[in-house]
Amino acid sequence: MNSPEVPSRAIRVPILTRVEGEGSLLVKLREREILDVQLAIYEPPRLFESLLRGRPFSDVADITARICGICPIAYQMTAVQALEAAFAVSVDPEIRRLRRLMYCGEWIESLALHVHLLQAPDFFDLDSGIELAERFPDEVKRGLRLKKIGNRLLETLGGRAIHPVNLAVGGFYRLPKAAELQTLISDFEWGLAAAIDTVRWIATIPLPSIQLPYDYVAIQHPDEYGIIEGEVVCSDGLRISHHDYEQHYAEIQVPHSTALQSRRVPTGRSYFVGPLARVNLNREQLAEPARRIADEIQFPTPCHNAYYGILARSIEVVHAFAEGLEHLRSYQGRADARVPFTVKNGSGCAVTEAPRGLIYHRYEVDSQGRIELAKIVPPTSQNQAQIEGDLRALLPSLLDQPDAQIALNCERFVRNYDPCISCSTHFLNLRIERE
Amino acid sequence: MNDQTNPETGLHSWLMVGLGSPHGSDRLGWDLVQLLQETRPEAWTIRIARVPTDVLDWLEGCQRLHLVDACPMFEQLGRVHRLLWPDAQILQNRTTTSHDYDVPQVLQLAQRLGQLPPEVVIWAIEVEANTRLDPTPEWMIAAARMITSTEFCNKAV
Repeated sequence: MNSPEVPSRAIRVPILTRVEGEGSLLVKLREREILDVQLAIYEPPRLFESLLRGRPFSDVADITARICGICPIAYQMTAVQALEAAFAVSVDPEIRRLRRLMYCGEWIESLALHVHLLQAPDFFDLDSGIELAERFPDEVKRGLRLKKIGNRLLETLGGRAIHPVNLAVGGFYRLPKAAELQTLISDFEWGLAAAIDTVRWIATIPLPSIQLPYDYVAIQHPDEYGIIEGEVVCSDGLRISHHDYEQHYAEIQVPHSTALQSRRVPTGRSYFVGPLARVNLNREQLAEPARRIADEIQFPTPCHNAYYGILARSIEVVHAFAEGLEHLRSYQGRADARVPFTVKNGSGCAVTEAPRGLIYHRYEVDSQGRIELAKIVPPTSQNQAQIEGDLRALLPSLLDQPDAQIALNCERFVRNYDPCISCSTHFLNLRIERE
Repeated sequence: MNDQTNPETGLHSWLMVGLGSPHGSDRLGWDLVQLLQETRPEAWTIRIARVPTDVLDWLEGCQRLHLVDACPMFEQLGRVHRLLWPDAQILQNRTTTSHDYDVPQVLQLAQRLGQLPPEVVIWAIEVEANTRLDPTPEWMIAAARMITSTEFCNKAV
């Protein structure tokens, strides 16, 4: 809306930096009134769901791994588990433990990268990880070594570092020998202690203060920290089976973005997925070292400050090392890599927790095992509406600043969510328009 | 030639990395090092990377780091540029990349952390951006031959 009397102002971040993928931000203002906030994801639609139709089920894990170079395991794991649901396959506890171990590797590499190279520079008013490395060389080296250990585990379990190929419906294509995993134990022992030190370091950083009302959504499991299965719970009390996910969370199209935005049904409310949601909802199920360090730094629960996401991520890195170490020590090796199953027509869905938050897959399969329908809901499309809502709430406190500073602060806020724009359809440009 | 990979530590002292992705002409770095794999003297370890930050995992003990990547400034398909780091051309022509850590940023970060190998070479091969890449075209084989003859046979460019 244009007013002839009061000129409007537009603030643009034409390319968001230090996020995965490419996107931009537009803020339209008239004096102190916020007219519009648009997180625009302008990458072309990637059409993976259509690409899968007609393909054999055995192709799905390899194709969905291409959705994201940073978190391929999340896509593969959710896909194979949804297909296992369609074929009524139950994997045994040992395979399940290896899958959790694999996910721990992906959490470590992705979360450690975000904490050290993508977000930490913001809190020291630095432009990049290079400047951070000059000021905190030991901390950055430690962070990169943590990330490296996560990648090494993924390479061992996934068969290769880039787009792993080892996950299969029913289990794995090849199981590691016990000795292969045992060689990782000393790295994980170092990593656990180093991850705890990282949390202590991050806790010394003065984080901006903001309190916003959030509907946190994450997987919850009665016996473990929710990673590969569980009920979908919301901080407002809603607890549903993952089978009912689509009845309560729906994607909508918005004109300014090629990514779909998820909202709650029927209210249309936005919601928040990711490490901060998980720690808020499942803190008591964190591995003991992670719970202890969260207590030591007095991590608040509930926590409604999105900037504390960096602390939640650091705590989850501790969890991933602690849980991973347990699995590495207990693994004895085994002969059967997969449980047998029969291909049949059916429908199956699954939810897991990608590093950036909850991910949902559903597949319909014909009697030959060909994919008839695929639905994939990545974490960033679920957070997109929440990011826009948060910026609307944040902006009034920024409006007296020059446009360039507003743009910088909005961009930094968006990085709280570690958005993976490639997954949701890549990067953020901020544009502010003042009428 | 002796193998420069330490068998106990798995560290690679001579490392060649193809940078890229599975998509279109961006897969050039992967495809090209795959060709090099076939003629690789055992001294060289060859790897592929999805994002430049992956390289940071492999720098411990590395003495020679060679990166092979597609160069989007397209004038002549398959033309090979051998750039010795630090190279002003690379620093001036920054590209948008995942997480905003492109090759120059990653090398600068490694340098800041004291992890940059003594020799860093970037092989940039010209290709049109966002186009389909045919399997092993002649110009790619020629580019591989040039890298092979230069680095693997220690000949001058």
